[in-house]
Amino acid sequence: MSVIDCINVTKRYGRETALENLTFSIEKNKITGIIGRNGAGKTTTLKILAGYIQESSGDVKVFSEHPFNSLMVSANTIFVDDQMNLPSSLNLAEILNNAEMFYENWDCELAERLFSYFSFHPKQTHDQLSKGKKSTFNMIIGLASRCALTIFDEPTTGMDAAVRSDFYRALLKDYLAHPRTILLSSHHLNEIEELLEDILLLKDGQVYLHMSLMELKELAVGLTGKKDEIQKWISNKEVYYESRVGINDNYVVVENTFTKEELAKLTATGITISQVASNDLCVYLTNTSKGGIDDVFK
Amino acid sequence: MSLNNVTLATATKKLYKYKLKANIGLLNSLVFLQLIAVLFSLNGVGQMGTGGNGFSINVYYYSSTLVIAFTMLWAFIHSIFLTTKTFRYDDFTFVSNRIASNLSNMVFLATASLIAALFAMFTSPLLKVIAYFLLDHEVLLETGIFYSPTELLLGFAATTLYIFLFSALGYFVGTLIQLSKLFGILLPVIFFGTLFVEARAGQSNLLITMGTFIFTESSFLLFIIKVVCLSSLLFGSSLFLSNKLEVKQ
Amino acid sequence: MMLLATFLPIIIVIGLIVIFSMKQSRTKRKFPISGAKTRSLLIGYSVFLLVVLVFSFFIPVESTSNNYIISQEELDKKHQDFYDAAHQGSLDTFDSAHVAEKWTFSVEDDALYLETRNTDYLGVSVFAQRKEESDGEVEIAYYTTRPMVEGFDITHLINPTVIKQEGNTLFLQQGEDVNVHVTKFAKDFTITQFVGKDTGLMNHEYTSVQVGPSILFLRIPNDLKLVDRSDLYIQFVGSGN
Repeated sequence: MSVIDCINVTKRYGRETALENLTFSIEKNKITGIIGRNGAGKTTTLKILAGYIQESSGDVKVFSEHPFNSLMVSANTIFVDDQMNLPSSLNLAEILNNAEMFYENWDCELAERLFSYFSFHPKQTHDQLSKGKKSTFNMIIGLASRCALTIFDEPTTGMDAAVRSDFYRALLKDYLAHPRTILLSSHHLNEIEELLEDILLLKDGQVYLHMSLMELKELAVGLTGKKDEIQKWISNKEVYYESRVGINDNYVVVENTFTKEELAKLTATGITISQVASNDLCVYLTNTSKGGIDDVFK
Repeated sequence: MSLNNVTLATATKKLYKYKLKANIGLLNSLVFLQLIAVLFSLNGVGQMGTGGNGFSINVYYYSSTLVIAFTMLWAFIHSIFLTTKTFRYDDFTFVSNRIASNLSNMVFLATASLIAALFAMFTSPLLKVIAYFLLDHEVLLETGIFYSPTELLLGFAATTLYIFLFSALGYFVGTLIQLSKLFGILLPVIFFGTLFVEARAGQSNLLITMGTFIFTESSFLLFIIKVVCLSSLLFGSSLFLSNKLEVKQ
Repeated sequence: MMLLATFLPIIIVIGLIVIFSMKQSRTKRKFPISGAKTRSLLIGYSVFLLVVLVFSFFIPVESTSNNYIISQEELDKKHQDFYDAAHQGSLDTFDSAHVAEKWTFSVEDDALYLETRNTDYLGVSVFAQRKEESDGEVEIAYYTTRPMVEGFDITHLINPTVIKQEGNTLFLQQGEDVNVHVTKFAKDFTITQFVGKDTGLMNHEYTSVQVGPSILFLRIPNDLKLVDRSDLYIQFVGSGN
C-alpha cells in the first residue's frame, strides 16, 4: 500500500520551474532518503507532500488525499526542518505540551527522555538556542509526534557529529519500535545510508532514480586500470564518472551490466574492480559533466 | 500506524487554545497603549468655553473615548500582525489547514477584543482619579446620575464590537498585504489620499458615509447586525483570499 | 471625522510605536516577551484598574441630571422677572435672587458720588431706592441670579463688584476675573451612541451654563443726592430721584 502518490507533479515559481513531471510513489512504513544536489527540488517536493505549498499541475496524494489544506494529512504528517516556526513567547516545555495537544500519538515519555538526554532547559525559549540545538529540539518534536508520515528536511543542520549519530540511532530505534513512513533528506548520504531502505534521487526537478539502496549499490562499478584497456570494455556502456589516477591509470564508474565471465576477464587484464560508495555514486549521477569539478580546471 | 482523523472544529479549538498561550504577548502593547491614551486624555477629549462679564467658564470633558479609539487602532495593527508569516506559519508547524488557521485567528481576535474592551472601559475610573488629584478644577461633574447596569453592559458590548470590527478590518488589510506587498503601499495611499482630497474639497463623502454608517447608528440591534455582517464579510473575504497562500520559509 | 483629523498625527505616532515594538519582539526576536511575563503584566494591570475603580467611588463628584435643562425662553423670563423684582424693590423676596455680598457705608455729605475705577464696563446694573428715613447710611447689596453649570451652583466662585469709599465718593470696580475650570466626566461614545439624544464620536452632551445678570442695589437715605459720574444709568425704584 502506498502512502504517497505523485503523478506528473510540476511546480513553478513564476518563470522558474522547480519540479517537472515528478512521478513516484512511496510505500507504507519505509524510510526513504530524498537525495539530490542543491536546487534539485528536495525541499519543494517535501513541502508539497506536507501540504505547505501547492503543486502547479499534476496529482499529489498523501494517504489518498490531496495534502494542500487537508486536515487529515496535517494531523498525520510532521515536517521538520531547521526553520521550523516555533513561538518565542513559549518556553521549550510549553512548546512540547502544545505539540502533545496537537498530535494524538505523541509520546510524552520519549520527548522527556530525549529532552533531558540532550540537556535542554525547560525554561529556555526556542530562539535562544544555537543552530544545532534548534535542530536537535525540532528532531525531538519530529520523533515524539509519531506521525504516520514523518518528514525530515535536512534535520542535522548545525548538529555536531556526536549529536548527528545520536539522532540517527534514535530515529532507527524509534522506527523499529513504531514503524512509519519516514522521508529523510540529507546531504550526508554516507551517514544515513544504514538507515535507508529506498532512495529517491532528484536531479533538476525530476526523479532521476527511485530504488532500494541494495539496487543502488549494484547499479555501478568502479574500474581502475590502463586507459586503453578500460576503453575497450566501456565503449557500449554508460559512463558516470571518469578521472585520472596516477600517471597512466584511469578510474571510471560505469553501469554494472557485466556478466560474471566479463568481470573475471577484467580482473585478468589487470583492471581493479571496486564497489562505488552510494554517496559518491549519487554525486556522479547528478553531476552535469563526467569529470566533476576537475573538468573546470582542465 | 493507524491514521488519526481530525474535524475542523477540533483543529480550530486546539489552534485557538495554542494561540491564547503563544500570542498573549500581543496584549503587552495594549496595556502600554491604553496608559498612553489615558495620558493624552488628560488634556480633555473635548472643551467648551463660555464667558460672562468678568468671568469665563471652561468645561473640559473627560471620557475613555480616546482610550477606546487607541484600542481600536491597536486591534487594527495587531490583526495585521496576525496575518504575517511569523504568525501564520506557526500554525502549520502543528495540525492545521488554512480554514482552521483563519477561524482560530478570528476566535482569538474576538477574545482579544473582549479583553481589550473590558480594560478600556475600566480606564474611566482611572481618568477620574487622576483628574481629581492632579488637574486644576473648581467643579467636578459627572453626566447622568449613575451608570445603570444596562448601560454598562451596552457600552461594554458596543466597545467589544467596535474593537472586533477594527480587528476584522486589520485582518483583511493584512491578508491583502500577504497576497501582494503592493497593497502595503497602495492601501495607505488610497486611504490618506481620500482623506486629504476630501478635506481639501471641503466635503467628504466616502469616509464620512462609511463612518456614519457605523458611528451614528443609534439602534443597538441594527448596530450589532451591521458590525456582525461587516466583520463576517471581512473575515470571509480574508479566508477566501488566503486559502491559496503557501507556507514558504 | 474631525476627531480623526485632530488625532491623526498622534495615531500615526502611536502606530509607529506599536509596529516598532512588535517588530522588535517578533521578527527580530531580540526581546522576546514570555507568556508568563505577559500574564503577570495583565494581572497587574487588572488589579491596578480594580483598585482605582474602588478608589474612584470615594471621589466627590457632583452628579448632574437632566432636570437642569431649561429652555432659552424660560431663562429669559427668569431674568426678566429678576429685573422686574428689582424695579419693584422686592428682590429680597424673589426666589432666584441671591445676595452675594452686602456693604454699609456712612455718608455725612448731602451728596454721594458714584464713579467706576479701572473698569470700562461694570457688568452690573445699578438700582437705587430711597429709604423712608434719612439716617446717613447707604446699604448696598449685590444680587445675582444663581449662576449654574449643569444645575451645580457656582455662585460662591463669582467675585462681586469691589466698592471702596473715599470721602463722599464710592469707587466701583469690577470684581477680579474668574475662570471656572469645570471638569466633566462624560460617558463613552459607545454608550451615548445608543442612549441619549446625541450620537457620534465627538458630539458631547451639551453642558448647560446659566449665567444670569447681577444687580447692585443701593438703599440710600431719603435726603441723599446720588450723582452718577460714570454713566452708570442708575435706575431709581419707587417715587422720586
